[in-house]
This record gives sequence, C-alpha cells and structure tokens, in this order.
Amino acid sequence: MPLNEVLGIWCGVGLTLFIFTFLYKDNPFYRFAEHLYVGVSAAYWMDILYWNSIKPKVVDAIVPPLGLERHLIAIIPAILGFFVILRLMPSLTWLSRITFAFLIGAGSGIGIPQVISAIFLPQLSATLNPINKEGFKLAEPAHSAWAGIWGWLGAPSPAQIILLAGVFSVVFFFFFSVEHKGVVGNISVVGIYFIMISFGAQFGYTVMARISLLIGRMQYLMQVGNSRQVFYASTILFVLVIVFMILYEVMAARRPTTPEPGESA
Amino acid sequence: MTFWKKKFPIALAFICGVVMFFRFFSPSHLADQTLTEFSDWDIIISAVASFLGIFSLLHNHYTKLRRKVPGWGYSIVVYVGFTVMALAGFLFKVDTKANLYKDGLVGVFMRMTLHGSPPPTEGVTTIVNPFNWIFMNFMVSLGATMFALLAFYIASAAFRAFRAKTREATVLLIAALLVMVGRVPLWDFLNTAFSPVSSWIMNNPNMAAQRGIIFGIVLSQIALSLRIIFGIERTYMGGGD
Amino acid sequence: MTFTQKLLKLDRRWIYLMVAICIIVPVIVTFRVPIQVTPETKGVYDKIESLPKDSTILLSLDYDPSSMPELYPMTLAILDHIFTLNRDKGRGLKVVAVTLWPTGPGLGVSAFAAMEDKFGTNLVKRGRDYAFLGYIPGGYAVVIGLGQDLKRISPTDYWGTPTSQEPIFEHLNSIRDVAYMVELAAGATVETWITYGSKPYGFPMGAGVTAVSAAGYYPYYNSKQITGLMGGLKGAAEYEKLANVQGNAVPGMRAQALLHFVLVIVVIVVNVLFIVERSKGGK
Repeated sequence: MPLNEVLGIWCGVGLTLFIFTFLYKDNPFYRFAEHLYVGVSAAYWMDILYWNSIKPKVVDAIVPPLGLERHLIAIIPAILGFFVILRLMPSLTWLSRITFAFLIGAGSGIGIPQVISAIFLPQLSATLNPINKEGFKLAEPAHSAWAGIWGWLGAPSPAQIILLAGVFSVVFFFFFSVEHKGVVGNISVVGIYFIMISFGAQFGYTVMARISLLIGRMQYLMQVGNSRQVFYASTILFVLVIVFMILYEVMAARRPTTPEPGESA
Repeated sequence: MTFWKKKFPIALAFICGVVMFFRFFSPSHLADQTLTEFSDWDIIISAVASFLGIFSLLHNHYTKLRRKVPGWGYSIVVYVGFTVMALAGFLFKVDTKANLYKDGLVGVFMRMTLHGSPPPTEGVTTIVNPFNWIFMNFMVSLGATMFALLAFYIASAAFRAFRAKTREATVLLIAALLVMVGRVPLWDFLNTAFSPVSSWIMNNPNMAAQRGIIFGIVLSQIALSLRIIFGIERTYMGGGD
Repeated sequence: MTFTQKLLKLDRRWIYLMVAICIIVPVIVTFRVPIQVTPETKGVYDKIESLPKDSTILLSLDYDPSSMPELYPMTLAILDHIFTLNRDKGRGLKVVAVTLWPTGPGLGVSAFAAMEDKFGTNLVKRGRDYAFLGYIPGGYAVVIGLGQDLKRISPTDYWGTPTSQEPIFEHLNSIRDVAYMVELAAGATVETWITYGSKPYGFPMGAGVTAVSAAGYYPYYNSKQITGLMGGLKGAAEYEKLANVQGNAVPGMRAQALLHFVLVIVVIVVNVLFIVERSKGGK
C-alpha cells in the first residue's frame, strides 16, 4: 500500500478515536478534532465554491479564457452577492436587504404556483382517489371480491377510509384558529393518535439511521484501520488514546479545581 | 436614505414576486428567458454570499485569539486547518490526482518556469492531490464520526426516556417497536411475522399522518410567500435601521 | 433503592458499552440475516432495468460524510447496476451527476473513481459515459436552471472541462431530456426536485434517503410522484441484493438487526418494570 494511504488511514483512525473519547467526557482530544474539522470544512467549502461556481460563472464570464465569450452581466449578481458579505460592516448592512428582497421575493413568486401544482394538487388527488385497491390486501379471490363490492357500492375501501380519516384529522389538529373543543377536539384527538403512530415509525427508522452511521465507522476501524498493511493502526491508536486519557484524568485530578467555562467552535 | 433602506427592498420584493408569479402562466419565450436568467443570478449570488459564513467564522476565532479567552488555543487549530486545506485547494485544484504542470496555481508557476517547453511525462508530474487526501482522511473521518456518536445517544434515549407514561406515548412506543423489528428482523420467523405489519404501518397510518403534515406545510408556505410579496412579512430584511 | 429502580436509572455508559458490543460482535462473527426486498426499493431498480437503450440517468448526490454509511452504498449499487447493464446487455446508459451539497463532490468523485477501477475506462469514460457537474449552490434555483439551460448553469464539469465539449451533453440541453432521475438525499432536497424538477420538466424520479427522513416520503411514493423509495442502510442492502453487488450495506445489516433486537428487548423489559413500579406507587 502506498505510504500516503497508510498515513491517511492512521490520521483517519486517530481522529475517529479522538471524537469517540467524547463518550467518556469532554476532553482536549475531542476539542482538537472538533476545531480541526471546523477549519478544514470551511476551507473545503471555499475551495469548492471557487472552482465549481465562482471561477466558471464569474471570473471566466468577466475575464474569459481564449475562445469563450464575455458575459459582463455576471457582474450584477456578483455585486448583489457581495452586498450580503457587507453584513459584516454594521453601517452597510442595509445593502444586503436589496439582495434578500430580490431572492426571497422572486423565490416566493416562483414557489406559490409550483408548490400548488407539484405538491398540493397531486397529494390531494391521491387522498381523494376513490378506490385504493393496494392499501388493503386480502388473499385472492377474497381481495378481488372485496374490492369489487366496494367498487360497486362506490364507496372507498377500508384502507381509503383510514387514509381519509388520518389526513383530515391531522389537518384538523394543526388548525389552531378554532379552539379544539367538541367535534373539532375529538377529531384532533384522532389526529394526535395518527401522528403518534407516524412519530413512532419515524423513531424506529431514526434508530436504524443512527446505528448505520456507527456501523460505518466500526467497519472502517476494524476492517480498513486494523489490517496488516496499515500495521494495525486501530489497535495501536486505541491503546495509545486510552493511555493518554488515563494520564489526562490523573493530571486533572491532581490539578487544583478551577471552574472552566466550556468554549466550543 | 430611508427609501433605499426600507421602502425600496419591499417594493423590489413585490415586483419580483409578482413578475415571477405571473411568469408561470405565460407561455412566451421571454418568460422562459426570465426564469433562466433568475436561476443563473441566484446561483452566482449564493456562491458569492456563502463567503459571509467563512469570513464570519474566521472573524469569530480571530476575536477569541485576540482576547485570549479560555480555549483560545483551539482557534489556532481552526486557522491551521483552514490554511492548509485552502492552500491545497488553490495550489492544486480540486481532483483526486494533481498534475503539477496543469492544475491550480502550482500549474501556472510550472508553466511559467518551463517557458513553453513541452511538459514532462504524466507519471513524473502526477501526484496524489493533497486536497482530496485531506478530504478523504480528515473530513470524512471527522464528519462521519461526529454523527456516529448519535447512535449511542439514541440508544441511551430509548432506554431512559422511552416509557409508556401516557396513552399517546404507548401508541408511539408500540408503533416504534413494530417498525424496528419488522424493518430489520434478526431471524426469518420475525421477518415473516412482523414485516407485513411494519409495511402496513408505513404505507397507511404513517403515510396518512405525513400527508396531513405536508398539507399543513404547503398551506403555510403559500401564506408566508403571499405575506412576503405583499410586504407584510419583513423579517428576511434583518434588524437595524 | 430497589434493584428495579437501580436498573431504571442505569448509568448511560453501560448502555454505550452494550451498543459497542452489539456493533463490534457482528463484524467479527458473521451470520445471516434475512433481507426482504420491499416494493419501494424494487420501484427504483425496475425503472432502471426497463430504461430504453442510450438513455441518460440523472443522479443528484445530496449528502455529506455524515450520511455516507447509508447513501454511499446506494450510490455505488446504483452505478454498479447501470454499468453492469451497459457491459452485459449493451444498454449504453449514461449518467450525469450533480450535487446541491458542498461536501457532495468528494464522495461523487470517489464513487466514479470506484466504477472506473471496477469496469475499466473503456466502459466508464468521463465525458462519454458519465459526467459530474460538481457542486452548484442555490438549491431550487439550480434545479430550475438545469431544466432551462444545463450548459448555461454549468459551463464546466467538476474538473473544469467545458460541458459544451463533452460528447455526453451533445443531445442533452437540459434535464428535460433525461429518462430517469435518482435523488440521493440526506436533507429535504427530494421535495425540491419533485417541485421544481420532476413535475415541471416531466421526468420520472426515484429517491434514496436516510432512514431519518424516509417515513416522510411515503406520501410521494403513494401518489406515484416517485417510482421508488430506498430508506437507509436497509434500502441500500435491498438494492445490493437486487443488483447482485458486493457492498458494505448487506454486512452492515447484521449489526443493525442485532442491535435493534437487543434494543427492543431492553425497551420492553424497561417498560414492564416501569409499569410494575408505577403500580406499586414508586417513581
């Protein structure tokens, strides 16, 4: 394996373990890694913005390379963008309002018809779709007979009833202009239960999501970082980090206690 | 001056909002061009304005360094990380490999040095790009691990706070457990028993509730957009005079 | 304090240890877990399978390293599927990728580099078989711009090559011309692509999202605004199974399943104890 890759994996494993030390408690290793991440991320973002956006769309438009046309109109949005940066100077903050007014005003004008046509109407149509055969599956031929009877009656299927009840009770719950008492209150309660089921399902998925992130890191530490080619970086660095944490704890215990206000990036 | 500071932005928001709203209903080529031009301008403005965040961050840490607040040493770490990565990106451009003759400021220097002579062969001048090396080994490791910590916290939250204290909490708990077991089953029999239940929950009550939430969000979005266009909502302008 | 009360107030670091053991053990000890392919994931797979010859697929890689364990395996599985169809069935499918997130480019470049390594540059050639436009700031404005005039919005690709000079863009003037789009999102960009992309410019799309947000996209799947929905690591594992790809998602499911199972048991036990304590009149 090339030296740069070995070195890179050692750095990656070390920084990963530094972050994991936070599980024990806040400590200088974690703080170092956190601040390094902030600095590197900011510079990464700046580099990508420059090479992917500012150079091709502003620099090359104003001072074009050979063979390309000049588009001086790019100066206007560049100046509007610069007005936003002027928010750092209190006396010139007001200039950024022009940029925000342009962006947010135009964005609102684009958004209203787009959101109605692309989200509101299709979702409403799907909700009021009279027969939803896919929502409630019985074994055949009972399913076809069931769907057939409901279709003949012109009535929504049980799944459709659940959908209609769920959607409208949740919308009722979020309507705060009328007090939630009486009929409105009862419908809101049904809405609350639908929301609880949805949030429960979302929590189940969230657990899966968070665990996935940890699995990714463990695979990196145990498979990539602990191979012979990288001289068992994970094991060596894990032991070193534990030793340094113990030393840190011992030194902290010996130091006279002074309040240390927590500062983070 | 009050006109430029207060009235002009509101008028501008109104004009832009109305123009872009009616553009949707116009099939003309001019309407199409307007949309293209706006999207291009938006991208350029976003790219330039993004530097506000970067300058703000650097200024914040400069202030900590200057005042020597507790923990100021970490601000040096921020500056060192920023400088190294910024140099890597500008000197070598953004790619997996760096061609010392072609890429970035290093490429400009090399070409000037060689005064138009033919470039050396690819194998001699291509190196691992430091920018990409830092991204893959530092940013990916740090970013991914920061969020990997959440797995521990969510397990702790599930243990300590996930209690059936009320009827609503019980419903939430049961739904969560059914989905967890049904989506990621450990054995075949769990898969057979709980997968259809989990699927039904996701496609029916969950979908109904989420659709209700979407309706709420969409209607609020439309109302807020109208308020912005008509100048009733001015929070986007920020504070000050 | 009784044993039950002590258990209910257990130090969180014991829970951290339990999580660590449940994650580490499956990495060392392999065992099979059932992975049932859901209709939601199959929707994306079937659509790509059925695309006509020489179609262009748009990929939007809107995620960052923090969502990489879930979405990067999906990216690799989808790209692997596409280039396998090209290799084995001569489909000639092309891929154009873009990202609306600033940290997306590094991961996108890695994904395409992995495909070049696996299939060779004869089959996966930049500019002819795939193109990567990099990061374009602006959110919905980017989607609109790509739908209006792609070469104007992105005059160069990620590596600085003019898009007007690349063969892949010869007949592709905007995203109206794409046959299918897959949005891989860690945030709320699925709605952005549906609202400003798929609906007005008329191309079908599918979505791969983190498990955190997956539950919220079922309404769009139900209304057929997206052909399929892959949620989290499970979705990635399902796609790997369908496309017969050896990725990281399927092995990751072992740890997922074990920890889920342990957590469910722990939560049930804790709640039973909680109810018993409450009925005794304890806290």
